[in-house]
Amino acid sequence: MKDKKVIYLFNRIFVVFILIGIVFLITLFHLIYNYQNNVSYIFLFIYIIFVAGILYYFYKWIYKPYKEINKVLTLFYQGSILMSVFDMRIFFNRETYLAFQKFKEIIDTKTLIEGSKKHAEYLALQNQINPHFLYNTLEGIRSEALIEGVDSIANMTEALATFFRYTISNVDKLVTLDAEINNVKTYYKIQEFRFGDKLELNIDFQEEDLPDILQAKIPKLTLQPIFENAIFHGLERKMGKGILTLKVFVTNKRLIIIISDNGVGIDEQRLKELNQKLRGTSLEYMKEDRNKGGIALLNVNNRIKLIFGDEYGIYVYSKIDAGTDVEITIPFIID
Amino acid sequence: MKEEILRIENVSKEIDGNTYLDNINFQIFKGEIMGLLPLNNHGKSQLIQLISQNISIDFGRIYFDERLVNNYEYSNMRNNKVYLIDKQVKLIESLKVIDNIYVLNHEFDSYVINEKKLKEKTDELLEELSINIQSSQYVSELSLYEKTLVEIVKAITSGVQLIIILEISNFLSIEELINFQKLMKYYTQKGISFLYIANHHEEAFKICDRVCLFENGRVIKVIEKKDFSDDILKPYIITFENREGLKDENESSGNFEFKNFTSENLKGISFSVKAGECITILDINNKGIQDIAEILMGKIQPIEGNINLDHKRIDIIDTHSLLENKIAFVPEEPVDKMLFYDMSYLENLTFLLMDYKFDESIVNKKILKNIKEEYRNIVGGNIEAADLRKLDKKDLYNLVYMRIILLNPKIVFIMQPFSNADMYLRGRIIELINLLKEKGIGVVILAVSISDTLFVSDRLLIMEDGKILNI
Repeated sequence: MKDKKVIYLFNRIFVVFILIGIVFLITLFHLIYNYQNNVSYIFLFIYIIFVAGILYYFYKWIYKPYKEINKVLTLFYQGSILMSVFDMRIFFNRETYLAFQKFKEIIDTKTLIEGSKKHAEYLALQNQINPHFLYNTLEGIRSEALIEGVDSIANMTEALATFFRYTISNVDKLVTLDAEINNVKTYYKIQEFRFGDKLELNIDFQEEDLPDILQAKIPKLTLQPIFENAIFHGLERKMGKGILTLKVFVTNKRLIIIISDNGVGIDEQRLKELNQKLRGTSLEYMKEDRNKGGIALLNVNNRIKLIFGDEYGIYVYSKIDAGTDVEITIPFIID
Repeated sequence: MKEEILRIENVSKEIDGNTYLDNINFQIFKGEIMGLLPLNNHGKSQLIQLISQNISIDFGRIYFDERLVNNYEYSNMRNNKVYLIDKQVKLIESLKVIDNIYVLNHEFDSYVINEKKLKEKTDELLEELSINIQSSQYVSELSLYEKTLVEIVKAITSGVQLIIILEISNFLSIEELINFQKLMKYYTQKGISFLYIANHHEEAFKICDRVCLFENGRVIKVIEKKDFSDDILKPYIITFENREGLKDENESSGNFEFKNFTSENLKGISFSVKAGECITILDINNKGIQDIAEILMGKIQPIEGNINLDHKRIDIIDTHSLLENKIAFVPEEPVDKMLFYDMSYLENLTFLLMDYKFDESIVNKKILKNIKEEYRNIVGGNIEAADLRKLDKKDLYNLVYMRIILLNPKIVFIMQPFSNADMYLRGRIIELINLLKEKGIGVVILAVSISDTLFVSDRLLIMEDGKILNI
């Protein structure tokens, strides 16, 4: 970003404040050197209290909020926050406030969601293949397999058809956790054909509120991409059995979903960078090469942050040879 | 449905350009004991401070009791309902227990104090918790363990919702620890949460519902109770090797003997140590080792008993005579107590050496030069340091132990060598104690928790109520 070489308005204002301060100080010294009687002594006293008061309120009312706004704006242009910039505690003035609201409208969450969605592979698929043609063909294969008595092919085709039907249909709405988990199970079924016993899926709930949890609403295709990531980046290169675990906690306000694998793990530096990226809403990655790992995480993270706000999203715990835990936090919504 | 009592979300905290908390993320649920195992101590004290008070942070959000209390934009500097229990007792010694619990309490808002009623209430409370303390006792009369109990009761009556327990096994004995943990369990039923910071996973696994591993200002792993096992920790921790394992005592007398020692809390204890041997005295209920330390420092005199070194009886009058008799003593957390941070590394290293070996205040330059060359091989460039402020903990521990080696005593007493040390430092201390053994110095470790002492000890003596048990 190019920095403009001008004296900014607020720098000017501070210069004026400093000048006023100097005038106050000169008056003070003048008073000190020229005081003659008790009356001017009292006046001096009142004057000092007055100035001290002004300085205090200047610090508290103007300087501190100014710093605060600066910090938020800095975080915004660095890409650490996105939508939060519109809910600052204090704005410079009414016009800036209204201007910011206008920006918010222009940016419009929906277009951004669209943007991040566009990146996903499933949309590319949708553009190339007529979904109904795909379903029909898969059903055809399935019935053929059933007639021939090859159940494994029939089952596999059925799983694939179910998976595509769920994946390709309308993606920008919220679905229940139940539906998401079923999709993960279908996906696991498909992968099982490839990995066999090498892959194991465990699903773990707080039992006392099972029905509640399953009705919670989450963005569609939040879980499956992360499982896909865990399999291809974590478990594929691992020797021995790969275990995937899905855990769900729920609090009054939040739904916390943890997806763990016991795969190869991520090294410390890369993990640090990844978590750094995940805490902000950066759309930079869309320009990058899409085959680089971790895009699925960023994509899901961005969708969550754009839909629910900056305080929700993904955090990753990992260590080489110990596996990876992906923690997703979203608000707990039933309706 | 769980409730989050504390939620730390993507928090970063920098001080003077050093990142102490680095995008840290974790939560503590209501009524659970969350363990925190610091693999190193970087950022630990900042985390504790941040949980207690909403000081400004560089990024992230902190929720307490599901309310946003601190974020990068605005920090209100207020205190959260959190209490820290550590070695530093925050009670007023000259007041009674009851006054400490109720009167100095923000939640206590009656203007008229009905002493009798309050006493009844307190006694009832203490009895319910089966704490054997009189509410009318003065705090100064209580033991450290009892003070800790009073602190926890005080914290909870003042409406605290989260209690941070910091490395409590460093100052509570095994027995006390078990009782303390019972009290913790009792309070979790009432919805109080704990953050249990411990250096050893065995300790944390016993009591915690979940455990998180903390390294370089980040939580790197959260482990659920059902996954608690040594295997799951393997990729995260370094393991120490015990070279030989425990040995039986095969000779009845050694180089150094403590015979029939009796003091206020010691009841006729005897033990002996041979050159190059290391023994650990584990004090189960924290009643005796303090006396041994005080006798060695010349603070108290034993009622009865001898100390023999090479079959010669020796008397200990003060620290000076201790060294003359070739006995050295390393206190707990020696880097705070044995070093002079304004003096150079070399001066620190040769401190005491001058008085005792050469009987003159200025050491000959030639000798100094030789020492410098000799120890440069071991400690490297640090030997040139003009003061100790820039050295890290590991180097400081090196210095403390090198000083002991330089003094060449026959026997070293070490008080709780692993207290307050993170995993990497503990590994280094183990190496240092092994070095002492290699030099033919007998080592006696005085400890209240077993910690890592078994990695260096040849024998373990267990002391209970001031007596050494036969095992």
